[in-house]
Amino acid sequence: MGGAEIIVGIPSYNNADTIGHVVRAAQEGLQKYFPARRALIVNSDGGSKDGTVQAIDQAHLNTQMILSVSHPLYPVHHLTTPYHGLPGRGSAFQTLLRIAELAQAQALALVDADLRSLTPEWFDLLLRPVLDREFDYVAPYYKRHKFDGTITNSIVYPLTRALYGRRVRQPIGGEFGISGRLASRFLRGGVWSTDVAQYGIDIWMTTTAIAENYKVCQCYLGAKLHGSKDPGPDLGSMLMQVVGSVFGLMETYDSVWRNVLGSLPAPLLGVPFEVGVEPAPINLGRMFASYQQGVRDLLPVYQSIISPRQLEGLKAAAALPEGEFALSDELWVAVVYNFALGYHRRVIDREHLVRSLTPLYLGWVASFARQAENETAAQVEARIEKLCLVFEQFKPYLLNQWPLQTGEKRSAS
Amino acid sequence: MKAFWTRAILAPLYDLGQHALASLSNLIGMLVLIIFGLILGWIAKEILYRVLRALRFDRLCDRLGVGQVVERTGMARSSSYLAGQIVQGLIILATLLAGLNELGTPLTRNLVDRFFLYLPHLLASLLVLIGGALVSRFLGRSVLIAAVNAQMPSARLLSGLTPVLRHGADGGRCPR
Repeated sequence: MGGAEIIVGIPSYNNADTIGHVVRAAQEGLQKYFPARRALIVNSDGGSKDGTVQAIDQAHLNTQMILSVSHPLYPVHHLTTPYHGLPGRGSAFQTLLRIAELAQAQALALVDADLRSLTPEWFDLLLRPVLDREFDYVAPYYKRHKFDGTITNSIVYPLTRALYGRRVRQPIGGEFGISGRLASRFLRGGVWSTDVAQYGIDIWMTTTAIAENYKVCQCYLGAKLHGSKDPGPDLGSMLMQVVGSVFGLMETYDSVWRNVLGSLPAPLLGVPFEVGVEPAPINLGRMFASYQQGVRDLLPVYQSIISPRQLEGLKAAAALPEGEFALSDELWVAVVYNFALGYHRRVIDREHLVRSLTPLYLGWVASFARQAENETAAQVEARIEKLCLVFEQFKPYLLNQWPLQTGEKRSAS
Repeated sequence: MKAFWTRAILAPLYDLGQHALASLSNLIGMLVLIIFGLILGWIAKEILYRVLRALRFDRLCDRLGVGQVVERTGMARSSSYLAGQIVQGLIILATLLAGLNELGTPLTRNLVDRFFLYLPHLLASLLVLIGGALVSRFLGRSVLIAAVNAQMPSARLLSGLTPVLRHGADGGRCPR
């Protein structure tokens, strides 16, 4: 394979419709922004049945000539490496990271194969901070519809920010720039054969980078438009993996986050420009109904996780007419913190605990969406910022409730 | 006449007295054993209850769903207390059996032998019962959460049926 300074990794699974565009954009980006660097595009395919690999071959044929002409000594290669084991992103990421390590790459960019909004500039934005500014981890920063990315907005971003004190707006974004040394560190992580590898690999990488004090920044990529493979229908599984991973990582890094109060911004590189975003349709009535049913039917489960006062708050909200339904930020934060504590204390089976969060999460999204219905993107962002501050403000509650390790003493504060 | 009186009346009475004295010592031995068992059982129950409470055994049982079963059925005031009561009962039972054995009659010995023959069945049944209760509770909660997340209107009914079906399966496998 030989050495490569830059690796672009594209994990794929049945992305025949979009992968050609992604590979083409990667090649253009590498040619345009890094013409003098040896680069390698690596696709790690999970055994696609729709001709994804053939689609890459097609893109390869279209661009090989140009690359050969421009960079005869350092052509951009294409590797199609079907990965084995878990049919998910994690296995692909592991393959890509291993190739980056073998190639002794200085920088690795990971992008999803189902992106329709990806442009050649993205590769400059993801790789330049690593190559020229010595950042280890470049997280994406997108413009998204106000009702898009609700797991991120309601739990993952505020909780990660409050815990580790870094404001990385899209911690499970899907596109990342990674330094060679951090790639090697990721490879040494013991998550590759665990459930974290399915949906939780992104939050694991972000958390690891922040918690272990690697140099982290964000880059503005514009809009993020996916193909038709949004995992929305399997919300329960996604919530389980992502939130379960966040809760699990709280145990791994509790000695880190227990010493953090407040948060600092992660540098945002690139110029935030206005872009059009696709509306994310949501069904408020269905979400509210799910919340009501959850509060009614899962009460015995919630009783072992949430305090009676918070349960009363949830029940009172469930009794409201749909048009007046609202959950306060404080109540939602208390619920999330209590679920994290319940997960840590194993008050019930962990999978049951996280899955039982689904109706409350849908209730929060319904409440948020109802209140933000007529608000602009900036107003919605301000609303999320306010929620984050409540997460930070209530962190002492989490700290006080979190069981100490043997031999530790709780400080007077 | 005197010899007849001695042989026909006094000697049997003497023998009866001797037998009664021998049996009485066995009977007293049995009573002492039972009283000892009662005291030992009570002490063991109190010690175990306090130790388990200190070790947060109740919280563990709550997590496993046993605590709720104990509470719902009214078997004891807590899982720790129930564990103490079980140990107390076993100690009393053991001393009672030892006491019966002390009597030395064929009837009591037969009773003790039969009890020990039956004991493995009893323990196996208890294990199946406890295991079944735990599994059915776990499955019931899995079904409930999945049904609520799927917004099925009859989620609780469906969840309630799971333990019934599970218990039915356990009943079929119960050792006889």
